[in-house]
Amino acid sequence: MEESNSIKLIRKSPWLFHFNSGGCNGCDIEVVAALTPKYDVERLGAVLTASPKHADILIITGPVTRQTAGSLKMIYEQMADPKIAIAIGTCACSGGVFRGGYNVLGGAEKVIKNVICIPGCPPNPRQIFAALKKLYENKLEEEKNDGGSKLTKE
Amino acid sequence: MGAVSLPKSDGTTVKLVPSESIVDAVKEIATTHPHLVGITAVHADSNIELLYSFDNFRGELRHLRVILPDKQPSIDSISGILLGAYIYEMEVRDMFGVNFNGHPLPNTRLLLPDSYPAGAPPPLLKTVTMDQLMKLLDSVQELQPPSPAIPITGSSRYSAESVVILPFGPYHPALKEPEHFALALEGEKIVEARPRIGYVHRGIEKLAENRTFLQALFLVERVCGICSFHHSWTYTLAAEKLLGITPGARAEYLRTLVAELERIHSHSLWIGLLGYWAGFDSMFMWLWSARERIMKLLEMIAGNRVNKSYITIGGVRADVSDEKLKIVQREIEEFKKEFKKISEAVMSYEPLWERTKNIGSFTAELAISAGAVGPTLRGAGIPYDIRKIEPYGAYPDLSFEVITEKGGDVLSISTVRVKETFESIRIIEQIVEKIPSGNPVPQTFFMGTSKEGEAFARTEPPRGELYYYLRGKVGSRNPYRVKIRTPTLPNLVLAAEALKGYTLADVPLILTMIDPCFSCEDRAIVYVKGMEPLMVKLPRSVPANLSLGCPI
Amino acid sequence: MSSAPLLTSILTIVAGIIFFFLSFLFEWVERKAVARIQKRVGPYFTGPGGIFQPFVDFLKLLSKTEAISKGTELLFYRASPIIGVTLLTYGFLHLPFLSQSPVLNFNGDLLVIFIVFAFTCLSYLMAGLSLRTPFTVVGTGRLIVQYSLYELIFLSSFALIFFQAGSATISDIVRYQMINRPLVLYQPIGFIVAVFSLLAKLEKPPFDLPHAKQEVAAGWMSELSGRTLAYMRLIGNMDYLFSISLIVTLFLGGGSGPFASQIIVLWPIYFLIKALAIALVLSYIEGVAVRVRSILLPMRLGIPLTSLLVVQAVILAIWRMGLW
Repeated sequence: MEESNSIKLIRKSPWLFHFNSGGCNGCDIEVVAALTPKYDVERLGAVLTASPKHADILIITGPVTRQTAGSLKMIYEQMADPKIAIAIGTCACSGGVFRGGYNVLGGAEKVIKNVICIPGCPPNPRQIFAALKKLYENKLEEEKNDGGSKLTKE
Repeated sequence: MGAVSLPKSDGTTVKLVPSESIVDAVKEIATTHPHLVGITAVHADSNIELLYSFDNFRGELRHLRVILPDKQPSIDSISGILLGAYIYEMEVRDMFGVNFNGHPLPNTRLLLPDSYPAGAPPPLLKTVTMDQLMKLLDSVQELQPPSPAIPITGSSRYSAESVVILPFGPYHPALKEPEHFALALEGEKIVEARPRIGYVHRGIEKLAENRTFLQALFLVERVCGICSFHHSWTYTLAAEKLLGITPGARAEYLRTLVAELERIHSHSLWIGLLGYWAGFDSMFMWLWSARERIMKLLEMIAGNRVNKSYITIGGVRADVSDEKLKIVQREIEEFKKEFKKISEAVMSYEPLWERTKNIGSFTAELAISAGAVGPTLRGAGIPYDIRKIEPYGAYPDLSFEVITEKGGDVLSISTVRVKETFESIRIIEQIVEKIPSGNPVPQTFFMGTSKEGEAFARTEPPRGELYYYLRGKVGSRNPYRVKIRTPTLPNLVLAAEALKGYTLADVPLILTMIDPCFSCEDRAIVYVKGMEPLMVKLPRSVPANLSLGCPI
Repeated sequence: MSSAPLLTSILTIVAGIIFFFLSFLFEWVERKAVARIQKRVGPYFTGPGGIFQPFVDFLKLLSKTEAISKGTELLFYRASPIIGVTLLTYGFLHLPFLSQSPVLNFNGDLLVIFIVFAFTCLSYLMAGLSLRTPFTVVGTGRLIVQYSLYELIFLSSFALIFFQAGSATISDIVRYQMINRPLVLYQPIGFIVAVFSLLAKLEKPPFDLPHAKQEVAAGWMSELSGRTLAYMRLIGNMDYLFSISLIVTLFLGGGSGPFASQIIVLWPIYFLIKALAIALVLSYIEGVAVRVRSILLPMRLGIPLTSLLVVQAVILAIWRMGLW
């Protein structure tokens, strides 16, 4: 697929908006930990924005509950194109341990298309940094070709 | 009658009360036992059994049991006596369909999603299966954001011009979790605040009924990621009581070790976030960088940083070698030095005092009435700590102090948390010295069946008293009922009261002084639109899509 | 104006371009310095030490599509970045950055500063109010309160300079400092007051109330995206550089220094060093500041700084009248 200029630039300056779609807080604190001195994703130019309109990457944590599904869709629509959605944690990828609960729809894929999944319960901040670094270097696709299960782009 | 009495070894008494006289009975009991621990509902044998649990702050529990028919159950509300009861009653109403007469917020949901049909059966009834619920909810699910109308109590008092209704959340940079607060602002002053929860409601209590005792352990651990170990520990304590299993001494020490590490990680996380909410990002960064040392220890002991899955019924899942304990000792010393330096610097910093002193003030009476627990209650001067009054794990052998502060504001709660971190460090130092030898890992993981009976357990997570209730049916591999009462639920009642009269700039600090953990609170609750009959539509100048979610 | 019109226009373009790129450099310096205080690294991978990060951010925002919500006042929305960028660049040309005499000047051009300040704030207001949502309304409200406070203080501190240098022309003030000493030595209190009100003007901590994310999300910027956001951020950066350069010009004697009068190239170098020093001081304050409670803003910003300024004025008056 031909990569537009804009996508190239997003990779070099990924601004994040964090969305908890019903998670247990574990992934959330690990996302926040990734911003703090030991991991410091700002090295890659990533900053946490306060408004989805400023963001390029939507970080989704937790299984999508019935109550948050509408907000998730709306927030994703509000983000300016081009945009990327990353599901952090097993729950956001597939529903995880809560799959089958009456109030849980499942993973973020149920609501938005093309989600990059980073499984783990929760993924280590090192993994979050590695994922953003891979995105920065545009190596996410290679990972898929290797059949690597750590990071897959669907 | 399916009512069985709690194990006598708890030294607790259960009194059967007819449903008409509940208000009188509570009035009587509240004079000596003013702390309402929770209202537990169980659906068994065409009855809904309500269990009201009270504490007198010394660990002498008393329970009242009421038995209602499951066809249109109805009982008088006790929220006039104890303020905090209203939120427990809402939970029972959502999950079991019990009608509380005289409840201050009738027809209002707390936990269930907006799309939950009004006439549908409540989810926790035993007659409703998960498949039926899924089918029902899938048929009405629509990808529409919740209604933009924001309910504000008694809004007729405010004319539309002078009052701005600011949605705070569900997605707001100050809240790490989705939660909605409708704030009525006059200038920058808050005249009314209304919380709505239920965004992270995942139905864990229902899910747990469909899993075996061991599987449910991993499920309840994920109620909350920050105090995950305490959730699994409390569940295990209740399950061990129910099943009659006793863990070894070394296992008790190792559990205590992980629990105290978790308390340090949670408290330093919160103190760091205090800086973030006050607009002092450097403090946040400094504390979180110190906290990484603790996370490294947790990863070394349990193999994971956050959801540790370390405990199991009858022991722990892996032993910790002496070399690792040495590392714990060394690292905890380093952490102590670092934390001391940072906390002394920030807690004596004048501008931070200005943001926290006399902000969100509340009295001890209000805190008791709301049922507040943990550092929030201790910040108002009441020494209520389950580790002391009802010791579990290795706490009976360890010496530590219950920290209290006078004042009841953001600053006093912060001071409690800083001092408690030092107490936890002291506890860990003692554990490393005193830990007995032995094998903490059980021979086999528990796969058996349950006995008939019920059990409860309480622990003291970083946020305050956590209460689990477990009911077993003979011969069943699954728990019959798991009830979780998390600390944030009563504390939130207090925070919403404390908000009034302060300014928008103080909202993040006040809302979070209780260290809210909404994922805890929402696990089993549902939210219903319309906190009050009166709904205020946003002014026309605001586009509808912008009115609801926060920065949206 | 001594030089020919052609030279002036070339210099204008050169100075404009320098201004544009330098403003990104200063954002990088700020981000790196704050990150250092917070024990972090800051931008690192894009360019040496992450130096191109702010510029890449700008390009990225430019290349993104712009989501304009229904109900936006398009005139305000479109006009605000134009007003901001143009006037700041124009204002910058009046500062002696390249050499002792600014690219543009006229008698009494200190007044240009007033206009630039007012219009920068106006462009923020226009962008903020082009779509009225709860967050932008509260954010712009706070912006107006803050503007009314710092504007008075900032400009009063300039009045003292005018009083001492005896001229409202920027090049005269610079000349006065070259003949005597930099004004910071005569008016240290005025200098401190100016630096603090600068933080309020630039919406930096502890005065970052208009876009305090924990309280009002992104404040007046909440509804901006894509191109407009890129330009509004650029205006913020330009404002930062412009205000710092102003302090350097008025209090630190511009690019004057040892041998600056003999070797012409030294002037911009000295100027840049002084500006970077101010930027580092500002970053330090940002790093250790706790945000002011909004209702305490007049108490924390208005009253102490105004009284300090009065003290400075009294001292200055006594000294100038020879009573010292």
